[in-house]
Amino acid sequence: MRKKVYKLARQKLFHELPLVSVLVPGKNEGRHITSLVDTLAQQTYKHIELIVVDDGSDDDTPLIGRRLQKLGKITLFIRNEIRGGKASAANTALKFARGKYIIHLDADSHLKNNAVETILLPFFINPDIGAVGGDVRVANIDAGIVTRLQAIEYFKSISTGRTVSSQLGILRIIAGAHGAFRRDVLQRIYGWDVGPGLDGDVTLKIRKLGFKVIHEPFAICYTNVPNSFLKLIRQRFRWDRSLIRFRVRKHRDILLPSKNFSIKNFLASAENIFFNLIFDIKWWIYIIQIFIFARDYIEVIFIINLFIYSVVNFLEFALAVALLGKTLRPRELLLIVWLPLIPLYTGFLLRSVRTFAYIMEILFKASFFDRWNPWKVSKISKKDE
Amino acid sequence: MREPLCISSKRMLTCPPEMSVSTIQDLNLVDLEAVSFLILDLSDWQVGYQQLRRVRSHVNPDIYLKPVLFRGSSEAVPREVLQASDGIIRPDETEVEIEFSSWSARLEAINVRIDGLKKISKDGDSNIAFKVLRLIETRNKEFKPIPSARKLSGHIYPSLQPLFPKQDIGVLETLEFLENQKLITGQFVSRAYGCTHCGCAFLNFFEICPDCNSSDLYTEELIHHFRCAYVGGKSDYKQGQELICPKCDRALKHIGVDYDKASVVHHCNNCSNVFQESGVMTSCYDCWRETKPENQLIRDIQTYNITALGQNAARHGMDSLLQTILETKVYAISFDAFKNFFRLEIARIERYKVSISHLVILRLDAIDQIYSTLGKRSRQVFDELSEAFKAALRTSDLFSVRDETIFLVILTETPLDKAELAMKRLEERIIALLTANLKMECRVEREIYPIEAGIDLENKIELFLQTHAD
Repeated sequence: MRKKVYKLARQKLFHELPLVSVLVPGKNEGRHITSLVDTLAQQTYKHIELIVVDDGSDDDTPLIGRRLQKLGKITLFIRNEIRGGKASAANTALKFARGKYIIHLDADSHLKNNAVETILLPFFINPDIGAVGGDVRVANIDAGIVTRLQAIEYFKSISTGRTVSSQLGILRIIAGAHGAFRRDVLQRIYGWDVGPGLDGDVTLKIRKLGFKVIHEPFAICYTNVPNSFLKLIRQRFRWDRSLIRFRVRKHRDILLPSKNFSIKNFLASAENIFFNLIFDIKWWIYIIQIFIFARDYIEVIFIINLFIYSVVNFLEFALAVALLGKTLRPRELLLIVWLPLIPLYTGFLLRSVRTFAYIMEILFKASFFDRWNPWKVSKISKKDE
Repeated sequence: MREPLCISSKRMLTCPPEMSVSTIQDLNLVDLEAVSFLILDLSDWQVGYQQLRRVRSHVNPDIYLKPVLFRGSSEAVPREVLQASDGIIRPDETEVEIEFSSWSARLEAINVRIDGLKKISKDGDSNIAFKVLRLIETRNKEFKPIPSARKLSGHIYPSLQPLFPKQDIGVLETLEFLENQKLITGQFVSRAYGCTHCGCAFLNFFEICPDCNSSDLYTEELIHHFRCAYVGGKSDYKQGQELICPKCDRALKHIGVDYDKASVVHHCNNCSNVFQESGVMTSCYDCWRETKPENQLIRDIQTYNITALGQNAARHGMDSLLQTILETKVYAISFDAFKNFFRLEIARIERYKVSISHLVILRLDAIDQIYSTLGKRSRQVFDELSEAFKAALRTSDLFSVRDETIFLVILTETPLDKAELAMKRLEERIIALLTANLKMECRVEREIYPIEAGIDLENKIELFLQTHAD
């Protein structure tokens, strides 16, 4: 049945042959652009325009971009002399996009050769779909243990987790690294707002308009993830604050009764708050309780928990393998040997970072001081809160 | 004491009654040695300037070099016209005689220099470059260009311009020629573009679409609103006099505080292309041709001073100093005469079939260097060089110089080994003179060809130049 639906959608896609605008905003990403351009050239769907926005790079990105534009490999290269942040760069690209559909990519990503075609198909299956998230997998798996652990995490949270959320109709985020949007929908919400966490923010805004948001696990994009624990901690500290900034603060209206109330939108946000924020608090209470009331059994509890988490991780990994099937590469299957470390990675490392991020955001609105955005932008955004 | 001479015109202001008056046509009849300067009426500056041009276009050096003063009000007179003369005398000057005698004294040095010039030809000086050189020499000052919209060249050397019969291009080329001859030396003032087709300095630079080359472009400033990250053209924000963000409806207040101009984008109205780096094209206002800027002429605009060599040339004529010396001392013949003798030698050899003669082509690359480094003292070196040639050649040999650096010799009745020996000695002597005595890098290149039926002189010179290309 699924195959038939997708076959019909593919026929519609190639019959209509809409122009697709691929937007790549970024700073100092020149060294990645050439390989991204190459993967776009190899796409099965060819009616693509590529718009690259250089957000005030101070390396040789402008030279590379201009050269690729002259060679006809980039449709439009725009250089912003003054850095304005990721959202403004993406909005600059959106302004000049002519395609019916927009695909937003990170410059350090590269696509599987059918990724563009596959991510567009849901739009031809259901016209109520406003945005489609593509699957994001780790490109630099072999860079070290930290990238291998992230690769497993991506299988769990993105490939499997978002597919399930999508099926339940409560998908709350479309990754900035790989997401497709209807241009008219993006234009209705005037593009992206100031981040960090702008991808989750734009997804909720699209949901609020009443459009469906889904995940397409077979539209595959490979991206480079942090290759050291320090870089990973910094990245997650930035990402995790967006739960407080956007879901708890900016989009709290989703959680409250109103004439626009939608149970699915409520669940999309509440599920995230419940499992990430509430359970996080509960976990720390649990740990404190153990230290106070069951100090003698810590080792036993730890081993039992580790065992249970490991079993769950193996099951999740098996589910991912079953779901993603042939799209997995052999080296991705070999990640199974690293599964025993996942409880420590997610249970302790990522949870600690997350908790710290929540506290900093709740108490100090730390995301507004993040250097990810230019100071001029953060200052104004904070004043607005 | 020399006296001024009024050049009459219909509207001539009053000159002192005892002052001599003449017309331009009658200047040949005047004792010019007794004239300090000519006075031209400036009440109609166009007529005055025309008269100045008539004076300067004369071939008689005593006339065209004579100092000329304008008399009249300088109001509304173009700057390049005022500076074309040697000075201005105001019409309201009460003590005219004192003023005149003051000018006579100031211009005496110029007149002395004019007196010192050799009369090159009884027909006068017809070569424009030579006239320019002589004017520069007699004024003994720096010749500065001024920008002018009245000349296609865009710059004008006011006092040199009247020498030129045609009113435009020519001055810059002549000065460039004189500079290449080391007769004058230039000092950089500015750089200017000129049309590669017609030399006109009036070029329109305009931006074009890199795809279709259309200049029908619309340029848009992109405004980034910090609060909501919206980016759009200024027109997106414009609501009356205010800039209102279309995304968040907030008024933009201060650039740099709540918004900035992120970049500039061009839209082509012809092909709808959007781009940031436009191409640039130029079009000439004179010939209307469109050319890319990099293909246009780029001229260095310079001030000029005369060199020692130039002073010498101005006084004694522009023929090559070296050539003149060689003609006198080694009896060098002209190239045309040499060609005739060469043809005769071929015919003679062919006819009798007993003679062996050789053609020697010799190049000396240090001539320019001698001019530029030694200036006036070049003559001494050239005297030495001519001695070297004289010693190496026999009176029966024929000798000529071409382009100052190429020397041609017909060694009559000389076998190859003897010719080689003679030229080797000449080469050693030249190198010894320039390298050892003057510490000058010198290269002597030579070839010896047997003179026989079918040999072509021009071809051999061409072959020589190709073989010994720089």
